Amino acid sequence: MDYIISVYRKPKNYGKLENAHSKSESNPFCGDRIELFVKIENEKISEIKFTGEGCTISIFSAEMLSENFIGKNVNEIKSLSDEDYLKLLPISLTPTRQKCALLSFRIMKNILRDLEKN
Amino acid sequence: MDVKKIREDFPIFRKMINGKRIVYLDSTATTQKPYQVIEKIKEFYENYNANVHRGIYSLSEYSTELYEKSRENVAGFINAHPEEIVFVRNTTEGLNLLSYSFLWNFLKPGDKILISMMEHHSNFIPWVRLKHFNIDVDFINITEEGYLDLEDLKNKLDKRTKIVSLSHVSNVLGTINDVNEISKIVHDNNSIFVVDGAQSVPHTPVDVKKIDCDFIAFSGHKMLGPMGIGVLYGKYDILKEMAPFLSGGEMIKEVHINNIIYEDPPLKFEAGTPNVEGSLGLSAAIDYLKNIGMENVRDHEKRLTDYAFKKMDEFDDIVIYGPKNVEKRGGVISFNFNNGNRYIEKELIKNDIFVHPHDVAGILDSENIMVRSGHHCAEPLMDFYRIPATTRASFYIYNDEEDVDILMDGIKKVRKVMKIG
Repeated sequence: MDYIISVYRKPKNYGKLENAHSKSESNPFCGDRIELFVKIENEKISEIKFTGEGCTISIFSAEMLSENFIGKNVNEIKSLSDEDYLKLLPISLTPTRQKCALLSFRIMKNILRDLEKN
Repeated sequence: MDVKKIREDFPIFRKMINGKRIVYLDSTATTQKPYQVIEKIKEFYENYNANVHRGIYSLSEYSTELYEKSRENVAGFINAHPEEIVFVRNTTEGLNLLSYSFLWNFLKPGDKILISMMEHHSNFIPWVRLKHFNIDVDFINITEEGYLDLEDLKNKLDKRTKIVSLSHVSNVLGTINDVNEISKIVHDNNSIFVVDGAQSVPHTPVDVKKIDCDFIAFSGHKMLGPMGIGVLYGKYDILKEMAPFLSGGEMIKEVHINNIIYEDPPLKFEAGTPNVEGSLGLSAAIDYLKNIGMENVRDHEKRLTDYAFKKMDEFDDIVIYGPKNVEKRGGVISFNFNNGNRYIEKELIKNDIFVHPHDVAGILDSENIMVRSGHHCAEPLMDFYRIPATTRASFYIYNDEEDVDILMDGIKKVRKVMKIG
């Protein structure tokens, strides 16, 4: 828990990115809201930042997502399921708290899906 | 009131999690059920199950009688006539019934409906949706302390205002709105007064004649009864003029290809096979509450709230939303860790004094303390206070001072884990 709280209080990738793909979504259960900014170069994630407000789990997850996904291939991320994503986090979560953790992952997936459509 | 003895009536409180008892502080969301209610439902299915208002055979006659007796019991509980009691699923359905039916033959474009900033979504969305039909909806302001601004109500009431729909007790702030006074103001304007009684009928004596409201809706599961049964009370003369909501079986006198004659209220509003087990469970819950006495329920919760306020005073970083005066509020305590400030001025992430209610509830849960965290289906109210959420502890007849003490220990743990204070 101490580790989660220290990440939550000072997430490294908190902030905005100019000229990036971005999307903001909230968790209808609790009102947590995250805006994700993603830059992609040659099908690889080059930069991720986020802003928003939420509980320790949702902010922690957004920070973990940004740290884990930078450098990853877009298709690799697309192929991840919710379960795969939750396994990347160094904590086990109850079903309700999983929703907090999955918020940023859902936004990431939606950004990639929108890009595919366009 | 002997809380320890009351608790013995609730099988769920025998349950231990990690060797510790449950401290249930979420009765505003739903209450636990005494065995008297659980047994009544079991008894119905084991002895009397048959569809109501249909069969000629004895079982059906008997189940009909039981169902109608439940209606009489509900009516007596709020000082209404049985034919003014419509069984619905819950408060939400009761209020949806009204907005739908009023739209059918009462409201017209340009009419106005008044609600307030402290409404639960169930008394918000059914009305706001009507904007689609060019019906205006306006919102009565609240004060910073969480009282309804009666001057604002008077200012916003006008000729176009057909309906005023307000909560009796706020599910977030605990505020008890002065419905007797509001009823006079609203009726002086010839508007219809609808009361959301979800948080009042379970917790305090409610007399519809005294309030003189035109409608009140409430849920069985928030007053020891089962889920899936609720009540809409309406003045008979108005119910008679209203269009049905759901239609189908049970709600008709005659059906021909070119002519349908509806039943009289309340059956006109009870299409389909009703929730008979639910009505019996609710009736048993009402018996249980009557046995304690609603005045005693109210006094008990007032005393607990006062006790909790005094204890929470120790924590100067905690802010409590809603009135401080326990005479003017119910046993619902919404709070935040935010250096004692109601509003959040900075981005949360850069704010090391705020603890997100999800984290508060998560840490309390590790001690078997069950509270609600989130927007409590009152997002406009969260917007008003510029907060994403609150933590809410609420009391009922099975809670006591010891529960409050355990909650306080839990709050200390939250501060320690989250490294604040």
